[in-house]
Amino acid sequence: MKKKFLFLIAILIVAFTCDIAFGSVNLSFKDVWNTLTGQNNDLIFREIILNHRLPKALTAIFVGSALSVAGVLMQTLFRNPLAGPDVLGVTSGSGLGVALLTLGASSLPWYFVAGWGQVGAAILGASAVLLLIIVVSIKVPQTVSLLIIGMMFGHFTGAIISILQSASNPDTLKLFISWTFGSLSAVSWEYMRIMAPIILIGITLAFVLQKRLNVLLLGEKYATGLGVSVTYTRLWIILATALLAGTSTAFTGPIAFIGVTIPHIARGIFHSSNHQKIIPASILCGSIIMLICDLISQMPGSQTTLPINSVTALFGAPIIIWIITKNRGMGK
Amino acid sequence: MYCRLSISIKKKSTDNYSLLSTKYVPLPYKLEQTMKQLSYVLALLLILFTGCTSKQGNKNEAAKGESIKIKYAEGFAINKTSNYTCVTVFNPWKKGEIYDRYYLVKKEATTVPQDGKKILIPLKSIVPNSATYLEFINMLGEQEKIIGVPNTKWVYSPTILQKVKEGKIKELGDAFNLDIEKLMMIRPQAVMTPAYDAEDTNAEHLKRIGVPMLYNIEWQEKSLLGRAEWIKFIAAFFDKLELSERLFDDVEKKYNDASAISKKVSKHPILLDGQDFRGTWSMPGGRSYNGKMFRDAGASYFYEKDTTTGSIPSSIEAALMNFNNAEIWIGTKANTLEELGKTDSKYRLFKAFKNGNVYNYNKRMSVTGGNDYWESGVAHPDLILKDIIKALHPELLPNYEFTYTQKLK
Repeated sequence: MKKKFLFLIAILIVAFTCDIAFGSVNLSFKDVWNTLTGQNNDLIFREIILNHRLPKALTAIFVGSALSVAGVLMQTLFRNPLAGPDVLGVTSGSGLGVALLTLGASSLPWYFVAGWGQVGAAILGASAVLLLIIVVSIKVPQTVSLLIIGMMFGHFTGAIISILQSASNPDTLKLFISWTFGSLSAVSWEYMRIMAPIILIGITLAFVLQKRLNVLLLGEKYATGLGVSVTYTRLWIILATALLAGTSTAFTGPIAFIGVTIPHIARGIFHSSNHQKIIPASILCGSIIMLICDLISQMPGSQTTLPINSVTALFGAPIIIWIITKNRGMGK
Repeated sequence: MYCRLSISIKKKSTDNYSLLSTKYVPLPYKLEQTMKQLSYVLALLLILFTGCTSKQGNKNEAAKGESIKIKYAEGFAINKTSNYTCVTVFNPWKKGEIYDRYYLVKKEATTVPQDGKKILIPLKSIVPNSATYLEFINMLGEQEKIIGVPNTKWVYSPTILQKVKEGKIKELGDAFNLDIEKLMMIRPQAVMTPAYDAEDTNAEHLKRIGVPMLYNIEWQEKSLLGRAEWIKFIAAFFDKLELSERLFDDVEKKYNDASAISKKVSKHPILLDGQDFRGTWSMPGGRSYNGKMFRDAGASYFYEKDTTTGSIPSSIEAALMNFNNAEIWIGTKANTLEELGKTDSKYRLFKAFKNGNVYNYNKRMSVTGGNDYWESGVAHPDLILKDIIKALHPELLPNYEFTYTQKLK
């Protein structure tokens, strides 16, 4: 097991290095190294590497980990292999916040769109849905109902977004659509200072919960029998997921599939459903896949960058099909 | 849940009608209201959240010096002093506020007030982040200074495309999501951009490497001449203000002459513009630049008394009600009548369709889809106006050939 972790860490380091070394502009390894170590003081090189590629690669790691851990939490909570960070509707909430801001009304001053506006709106939207979900989770004892209600929130917000889209002009529409593509480079150092701590809190919560999560896998009745309060645990799981999924969506836009697929990859590699293994494994796999997706999205030599959201889906969809055809589900 | 009115109308005695006890108003209208309210709340919260990051400054501290005459454009002002030229861009969304200010100097050593960016002119290189600036730069004879453009797929100008092919102009990806690494590597002296992506991370990168963003909000003007007058704004950065004034006066004269011709006719054919797109038919509002231009062309337009400055979202049903008798139909996307009829058979019901008086703006297009109507049209409102006049009253301009417009076959 240790060997596997070391192997993953090694791949992570390689992927991270490649993500910094390659970009849409070809820079030599020597230039990259000299800039990183401070021997090259060229303003443009420093800006590209230290202020563009470095935060982008770190964002890939944070967001990849956050979405994967959120996926693990949701799949365990609902005992459903296809659950992901978006099933609670929290990410749709961020989408609604941004849509209201960018498309909402012509009466809204546009420069709120700029800078913190978009992130702020996304956080507000996600928090609003989170509050609703918490209220619902306290009132509704059945976990499956919670899944359905979460998805209904998603559809509800999706519908409002569609209505807003149909009534908005092409420029604002493009602005919103660009957000839905997802962007790792949207996170500057300034945003990183907010995003990183929140994600770290969410991941810490997941680590604290790992024993309870293992008990939950046995079924809610067993869990209650073993003295674990299901309602209480569920609340913490929801909070951690919302922090992880809501924050990453707010800062980078929606990124699909990572949350659903990575937990399966992690379980597959370690042949286990033990959260003490699969949470750290998901963090590593999520970061690696996100870094690789980022590399693919800006294929060196290609003219345009692909939206990161499509790249992850291109990766994710085949894996989901594989899960269904093999019907592995969760190691029950 | 939002569309329920509290006033209940008289209930019929049978149970079947009990659902009618409250009246439901059409969703779109109510929704729009609610959205407005919601967005105000959101705006308020955002003000709290962002701690008021809006740009500082107001009109009162306008720069001293001789001001350049701006006749139609409302979005900018230019003042010349002996030391510098001050260019002010106003905030189109907040009346009386300044969006950005530039002090143009010819010598690096010149000191300028602190409330704006110092720009050394004439610019030696520029990246225009919108195809609508290309023709202005071309008219000023400064095309050589363009070193990068986004979305070359949507560019029409053959000379620009040739230079992209030769590698003299770099392709910079999507205008909303510029390839920031490439942009930094070519290091233009300035990036001219529409204002919607104001303070994104790209702007921060550029700020740190000392490349200023010049905000050109030409698309928010309320008249075609107003949009065309932004040539003066661009010219200021190339130190060619006098030339731009001459060029604009010429365009203005041509526009007004054409408009004067159309004023002579007593018949005002009804005009229909655009096409339905997935259930929404965007119609130019009565005070939008196109709405104004329709009046100048001597057309009768359903929304001419409307006060919307942007576009009005409508539908094909509403269009059939309001524009059924339109004689001329412009701005369709289709290239043939058959193609148009196939997109939606309801289009065949319009009078203009039956008479074959349907036009699109696709006459000048590049292989990949760049349309010159959206590109050089901004700088040549006279040609756009003449196109419409020619479609409405062919007898008025017998020797004029359509520039951007063509009749559907």
